[in-house]
Order: sequence, then structure tokens, then C-alpha cells
Amino acid sequence: MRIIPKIMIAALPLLAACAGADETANDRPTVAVTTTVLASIVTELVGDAARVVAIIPDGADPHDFSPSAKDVETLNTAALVVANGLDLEEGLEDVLENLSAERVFFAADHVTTRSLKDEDHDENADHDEDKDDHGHDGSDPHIWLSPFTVSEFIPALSAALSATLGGDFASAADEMVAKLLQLDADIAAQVNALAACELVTGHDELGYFADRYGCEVIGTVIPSSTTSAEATAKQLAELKDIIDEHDVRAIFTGVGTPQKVAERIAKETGVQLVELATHVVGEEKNYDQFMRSVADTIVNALS
Amino acid sequence: MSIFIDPFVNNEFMRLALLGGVLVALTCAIAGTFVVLRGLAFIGDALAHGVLPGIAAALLLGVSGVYGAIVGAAVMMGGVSVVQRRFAMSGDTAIGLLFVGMLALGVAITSRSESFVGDLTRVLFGELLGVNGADIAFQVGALALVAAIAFVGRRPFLLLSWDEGLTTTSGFSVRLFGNLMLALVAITVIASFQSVGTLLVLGLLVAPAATGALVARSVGSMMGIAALIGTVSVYIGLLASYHFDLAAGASIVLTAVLIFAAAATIHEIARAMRDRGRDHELPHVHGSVHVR
Repeated sequence: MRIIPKIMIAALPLLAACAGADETANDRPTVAVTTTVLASIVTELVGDAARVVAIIPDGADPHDFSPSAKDVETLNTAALVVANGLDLEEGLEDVLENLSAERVFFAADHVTTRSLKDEDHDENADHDEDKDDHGHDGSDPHIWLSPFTVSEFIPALSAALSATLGGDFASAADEMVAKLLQLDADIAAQVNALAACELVTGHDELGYFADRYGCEVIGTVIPSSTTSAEATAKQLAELKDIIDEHDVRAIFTGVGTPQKVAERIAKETGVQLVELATHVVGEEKNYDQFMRSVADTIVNALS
Repeated sequence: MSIFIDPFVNNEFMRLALLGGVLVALTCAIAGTFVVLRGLAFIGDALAHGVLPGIAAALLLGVSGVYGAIVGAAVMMGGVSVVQRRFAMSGDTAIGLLFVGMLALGVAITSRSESFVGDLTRVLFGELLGVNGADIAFQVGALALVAAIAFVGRRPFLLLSWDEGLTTTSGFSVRLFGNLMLALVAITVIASFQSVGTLLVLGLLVAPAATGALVARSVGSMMGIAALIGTVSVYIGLLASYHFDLAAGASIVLTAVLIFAAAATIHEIARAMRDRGRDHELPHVHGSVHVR
């Protein structure tokens, strides 16, 4: 708070109001959540029982976010920390590891994860996959992009919230699971209406969505599930071939997509670039709306 | 032969990357020759990082990163000059101070901005495979500017590289042409941040010119050799990226450094053989020929 004293005096009534608001907020325990999308889910579940704080700014790249000292304090003092897991929050790993296990809830621990498959399915690749499954690297962290997968961790999350905050979230959880399954059914119907659902994305992020709704991620601009990798000439040439062979309608770009490389590929293949906000929950902070807008964007671009 | 040509024939992005890369290599050959002769590699590195906060701020404000890079480079050079002259610090200390200061500022800006869309790594490592027509035009302009400055200032630049005192007695301002030489490096860094990135451009600035210094007998031929090696490095690096699935910018710089290593090795072997021949004929001069 580096504010000039005069302004402080002028703003005293305002400050008092803020302090009042803060006090009521401080009465409630804090639940710190790593991403904004997860935070929207937690908020819906806890209602007024806790203050939900998202650590990674909305729209920032969770793969290479590094926390400020304030963020670390929030994580250390929160009643419960909700994280995605599977190495999504690379920069927060050390902080999360230092928290006691009962205070951290990793959503990915409670869902059916999918492994990141190698593009060519030779035997060696399959062996590598088996090996990777024992570590974290082998699994796709983008679990929030399928409402069904989200519904899988809701019961466990509500139990963790009850254990740390007190109170009973079971009925809220049941309600939420029902809503998520409805959302799941709606998106399935929407996608099923498409003749084909072949996806080309910035990085490999739509795996859970694709698996659930019968789509296929046939190519990515960055050859990885994280945004930290760099495109190579070989893999771009292959991507062009894939786009030419399939009836690809759009390249979906988003957080961490190398914009100019994507533009170049779009130009050479005559395919449109469509921005897909898979890491941005927006003003509404509502998971249902977020996911419907993701699905709408995909379906509109492909139909 | 098709594996050497087909990738470029079949893909426009490869042709544009080659063109953009060669333009950077030529710009780097001119600026790099003076960097190597005058020992400016550290300030080059510092400029490469010093432009970061400018680029980050420009992207946040929604203006082209180039303007931010220009401001960043100007602050960097001005700051180095002030610290060095006003506080009688060594050039190293001044550069080091500004270097980390600007780098930290860049990281701080990007880490706390919720709406940051540009990506730090794309600035550091560039997007050579995404080079477009506007980038090419910009690089042609930068090359022309660098060539013009180098041509106009060639005498004082060379004098500066050998002896500052001699520069003054010849009637040139050390300060003016010293700063102009830094501007040469700054323009090269700024022009390349969209293609090979600000970090890897240092490789093209230093490695080909260093190889040139190893084998050339005049400054002109050093520059020519640097241009040739830079161009070959871009071509081989892109081919490696295509055939071996490697990051393009890194492959190019690695090629340039490996060419230096190979040239240096051949140079050493040739000298050793020459020395042995001499040892045989005139064993008594052994030792005196090693003075460099």
C-alpha cells in the first residue's frame, strides 16, 4: 500500500468501508485455489461458507506462473488449498509440496486421468507410456475441460471442504454433480450433431473434451501438453500435411500458443484461426457458462 | 539432393524463415564484426535482456513491441553510460547493474499483469517459423540502417577497436562513435527479437564474426566470412529443425557455434603441423612463434 498520505485522508471513509468488508471476509475461512476455472467450481460448492481466492490470474498461463510472496502467504494460511495437479501448476509445485497433505486437495487425484499418447503407436511408444504412467508426466492435466471429469472429483472435494471448514457440502455437491452431468449431456448432444469433430489446437489441451465427446485432437501447434515447448520445422510441416489430409475447419489458439507460427500455418493451409478460451473463466466466474462457451466456440467453428 | 531443397520448396514458412534468418545473419555479420573486435559481447547480451521490460510494457499498452524495445535499449545504454562516467564504475559493473535491473523489471512486469498475452519465452527465443512479410520488410530496413551506419563510421569504428587514443588524435569523438557502435548492436538486437529472439541473436552476433576473426586477414574479409557462416548456419539449422525435429532458433545458433569450434580445431591442427615443420628445420626458434 504505497499511497500518498493526503490521498489516504481523502479516502478515509472509503477505506473504512473496505475495512468493514475485509472484516466480514476475514471471519470466514479462506480456500485458496490455483486456477480461476477451478475457483469457479469451488465457489459454487462452498457458497458463503468460505472466501475463495484464485492464485493464478484469469487468463494467465498456469504452466509458467510463478507466485509472489503474497501468493505463498495466501497458500500457507488458507484453510484448504485446491489445486489441479499433474504438473499443471509447475511454478507452484514447491509451495504445494511444503503444505501438509490434509490441507491440499489435488483434483486430478480423484478423476480418471488420460495418458498423453504418443502420436505414432509403435510398440516402443506404448512401452514408454507404461513407464510414464508411474510418474506424473504421463497424464494429461487439462481435466477441467470435460464436465464429466469435473463431476468425478466433486464428492471428494466436498468431503475435503467439510473436513477443513466444517459444515456439510454433500447436498450442494449432489446438486452440482447433477448440473455437471446435464452440462455434459448438452455438450454431447451439441457435438454429436457435427459431421466430424477433428481438432487442431495450440497445445495439447483438449484431450479430455475429445475423449468424452468422440472428437480427436489430430494436431497441435506446440508438440506438447505444456505451453513451454517450442515448435519445430518438422512438426509444423507434419501439421500442415495433417490439416491438408483431413477436413480441418479451424485451428484453435489460446494461452501460450505461438501466435505468429499459428498465423503462418493458418495462412498456408487456408484454415481459420479461432481463439478458444480454455484457461479463462471470465467476468461471470461461472463454470457452466465457461464450459458452454468453450463448447459453443468449438461447435460453431466446426459446423 | 532433395532433402536439402524440398523442405523449402514445399513450405512457405521454411522459405520465409530462411529469408528472415539470412537477413538477421547479414545484419549480425556487420554488427558482430565490431562486437568481436571491440569486445562488446557483454553489452550485447545486456541489450538482449535489457529490451525485455520495454517489450513487455509495450505489449501491455497494446503497441508494437518494437517501440518498447527501442525505449528499453535507449534506457539500457543511457544507464550504462551514466553509471560508468558519473560514478567512475568499470564498464563491466555498469553493464551488469543495468542488465539484471532491466531483466528483473521485465520479469516483474510480466508476472504481475493479469492480462499479459505476449509470452516471455517467445520474445527470448523468437518465432522464426512464424516470420511474415512485415517482419521481412522490417529486417530489410534494419539491415540497410546497420550497413549505412557501419559504412559511414567504418574508420572511427576500426580505430576504436584498436586504440581509443588513436581515435581521438585522428579527430574522431570516442564518445560519439562509441555510442554509435552500441546503437549498431542495439538495432541488430531489436530487429531480430521477432525472428530468432533476443537471446539467440547473440549467437549469430558473436559466433560467425569470431570464426571470421580466426581466419580472416582483413576486417572486410572477416565481415564477409561472418556473413557467409551466418547464412550457412541459418540454412543448416533450419534443415536440422526440419529433419531432426529440433527447435529452429537453437539449431541455427548451435550450428554457428559448432562451425566456430570446427574452424578453431582446424586452425590449431594447421598451426601445430606448421610448428612441427618449423621445429624440424629450425629447432632453435621453438617457443618464439607462439606469441600471439
